[in-house]
Amino acid sequence: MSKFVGFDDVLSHVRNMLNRSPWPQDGRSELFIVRDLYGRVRLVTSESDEVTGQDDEWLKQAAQDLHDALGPRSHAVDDTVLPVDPDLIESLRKQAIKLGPRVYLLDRSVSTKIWWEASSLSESSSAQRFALYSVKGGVGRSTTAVVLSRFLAGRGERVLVLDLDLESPGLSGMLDHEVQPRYGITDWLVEDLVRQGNEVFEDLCARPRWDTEFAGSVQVVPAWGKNPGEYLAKVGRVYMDTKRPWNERVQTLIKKLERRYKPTVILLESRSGLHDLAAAPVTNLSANVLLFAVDSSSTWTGYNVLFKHWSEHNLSPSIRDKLWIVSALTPQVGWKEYIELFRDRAWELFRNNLYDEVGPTEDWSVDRFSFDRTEPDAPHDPLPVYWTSGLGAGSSLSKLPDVAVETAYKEFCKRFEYLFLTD
Amino acid sequence: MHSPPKADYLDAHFRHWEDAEFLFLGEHWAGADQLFGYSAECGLKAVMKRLGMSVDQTGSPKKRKYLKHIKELWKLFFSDFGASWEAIWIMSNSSTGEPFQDWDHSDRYANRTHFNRDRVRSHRKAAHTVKFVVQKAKLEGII
Repeated sequence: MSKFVGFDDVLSHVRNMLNRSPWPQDGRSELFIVRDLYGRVRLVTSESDEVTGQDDEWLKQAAQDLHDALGPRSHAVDDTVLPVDPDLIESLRKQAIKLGPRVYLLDRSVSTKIWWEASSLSESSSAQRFALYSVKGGVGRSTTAVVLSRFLAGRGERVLVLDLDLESPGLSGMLDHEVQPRYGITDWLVEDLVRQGNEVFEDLCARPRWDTEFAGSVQVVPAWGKNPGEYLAKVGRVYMDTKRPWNERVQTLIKKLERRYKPTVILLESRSGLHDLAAAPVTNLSANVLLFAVDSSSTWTGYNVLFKHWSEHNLSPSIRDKLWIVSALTPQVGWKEYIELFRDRAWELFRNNLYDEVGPTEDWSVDRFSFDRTEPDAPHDPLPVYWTSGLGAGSSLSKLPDVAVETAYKEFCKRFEYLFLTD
Repeated sequence: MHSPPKADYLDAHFRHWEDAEFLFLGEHWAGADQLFGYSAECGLKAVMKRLGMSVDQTGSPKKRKYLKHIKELWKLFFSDFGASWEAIWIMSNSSTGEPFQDWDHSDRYANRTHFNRDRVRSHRKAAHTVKFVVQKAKLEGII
């Protein structure tokens, strides 16, 4: 009986194969190792590259090797090497992960593609952007978006808050019904599919009633408008790609909003979990990312999956200096011990995956992305939000009780100000 | 009695493309034109089969409505199969309308002066789009 080859065995086999027998250096052709939607491996080259000599010989051997070793996770030997149109290669290149000189990995999946794109963080923005993300929901991201927007507006900032949690919208709750805009982000994404995003653009944004209290301003772009309409049918279409993938369409919308409303700070409430929609604000929008967490094994396992993915695919250098952990729902009783434990777990998470290793005799002054366990203001040093009964389920986002906000967020806001708003 | 080989739409799609390119580059417009049409037909049928078009034991479509060449098949693909696949986007953006409307199976009897470079180029472009879609489907592991 042949040996079972599980999904998790495939890439390590491919890496071992490349270590044993690297892609020849004499040719000019590129090799794309493709893991398809079913988790099977193919060797793809561009039709415009003439694959000859050692490269051709290597491909034949590799096809045989993959077939022998991976069984059902490979294709027939004579169907393993696939030369494709150069335009097709170009359309997929952005998601390619470099494995070696002229060798790339293309992992084709139905969703979660966006998590691969941390390397594409290059977008410039006139506003400071912050994404509020969590592996699991119900940890106070929406409430934090409201509190933070009020805090920032109080300091004179022009704040734009976007609800990108399209499948579980919450931020429209910041707006009383009378001031809700006619449309939401979902409407723009669906109209953009047929090139009429401009028709709804001017009706996407509204100010909460309390906005007048501040030196700055707050504007909210909700996921749905005053009348959600056929919301499910619309959400079912927001992930459609046009000539641009849908996450780039989200980028376009944000840029347009920036040009139109000239905010100084943008808060992006992301969806929770490991779905693509959650990934876009984290990896694609040049935002500082507030990672909301509670001390539970499922939370740490989820973050570990994500961090390990970035680490293993060499994506961490482009994302790690934008990550900040938030201790959500911190208990008020025994908070000191809780925070200590939380910090230890967070340090373990960052150290095992994203921090550079520094040997005991190495010089710490050399530029390394590494932080000691107790180092203040390190990415793993938690910004605490305290649990209070006044901010539990049922409290209205349009009218949060001041005392509860003060209790829960005083320290968070102070740290936020120090980390991001002071020169 | 000789029985015809079983249809292999995928292989036929690629070999017709290769032969059509060979003839196109040699300026054999008439032969190239026919083969670009056959290449597109076979490519679409390969995708349709994967998307549920049932075939008999020779590999031919069971439904008579799909026993068509590219002139009619292009439209049928969009109406019956396109919506369930991203091909509809790729194809509808790179080839407007019905690019094989002026292609006909019976053109094989026509005089060579009936064909010219421009006519063949538009069919070549549409056949190339089908090839792009088929290669993408293959790369994704769908066919």
